[in-house]
Amino acid sequence: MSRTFFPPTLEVLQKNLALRMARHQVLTSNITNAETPGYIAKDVSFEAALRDAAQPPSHNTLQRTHLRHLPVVARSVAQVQGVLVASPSDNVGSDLNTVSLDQEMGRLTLNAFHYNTSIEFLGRSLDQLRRVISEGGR
Amino acid sequence: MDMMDGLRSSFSGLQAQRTRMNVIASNLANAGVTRTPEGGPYQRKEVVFAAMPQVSSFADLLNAHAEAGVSEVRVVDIIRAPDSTRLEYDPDHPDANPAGYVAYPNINVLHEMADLIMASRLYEANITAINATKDMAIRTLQIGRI
Repeated sequence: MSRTFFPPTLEVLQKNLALRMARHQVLTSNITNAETPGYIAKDVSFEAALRDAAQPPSHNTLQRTHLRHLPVVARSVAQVQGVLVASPSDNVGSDLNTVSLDQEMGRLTLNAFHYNTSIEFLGRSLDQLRRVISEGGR
Repeated sequence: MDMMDGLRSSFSGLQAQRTRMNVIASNLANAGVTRTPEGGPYQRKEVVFAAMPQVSSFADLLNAHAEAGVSEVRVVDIIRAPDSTRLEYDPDHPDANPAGYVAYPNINVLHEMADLIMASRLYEANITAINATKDMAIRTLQIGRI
């Protein structure tokens, strides 16, 4: 995505949507398997990585002075990947199932809320672009 | 991984909980039954759940270990609970043994009702998850709509 026209926010939002959707699938699977013996609750961890990647490079970090140098901080937003982790749970019963239904429902709701918020932001960003394109000639 | 994986998983959850509710209903309905086609009293049944990795193609099967994030739930078996009869003294009953005891199914109504409520709550939880997925999908389709 070219930085000259599209604001960098779009890329972050896009990545956020993709990762949140992946996380939603995993949380849904946890709820489905809330009573399956031996099932380990899973989660997708990406928030910290995305936050770090989305931050503008500060002056304290190392800067590349030549194009052919290896990238130092190098975490572009597009490179952020979700990591599948076992989600923390204090609810291990005798059947070794680690799903805590209320926690999972909370995570699911919050994740969907974040997803919908990103959609809203994305819509508004696109709306701004549309306005720039169509209203300029009038 | 797309939106449909989560929906498929939730639907499998609905199906599994419904099967469980049917088994519980059967246990409750047959709580006093002393004669069955197999002979002897009715035996309490239990469902066995197992998580299944999502397999919709051979490639998925190969990758199933690589990304085991989303799994469905299946009722893999309906077992007869061990120790599923209790003896009650009732010498007038036609099915009483020579000592006057009748073998009844060992069904605890409280236990079954608690199980039923749990199944019904999980069913609702899956419905909630489906609605959340549906809502997200609809909003996604509306990105950029004027």
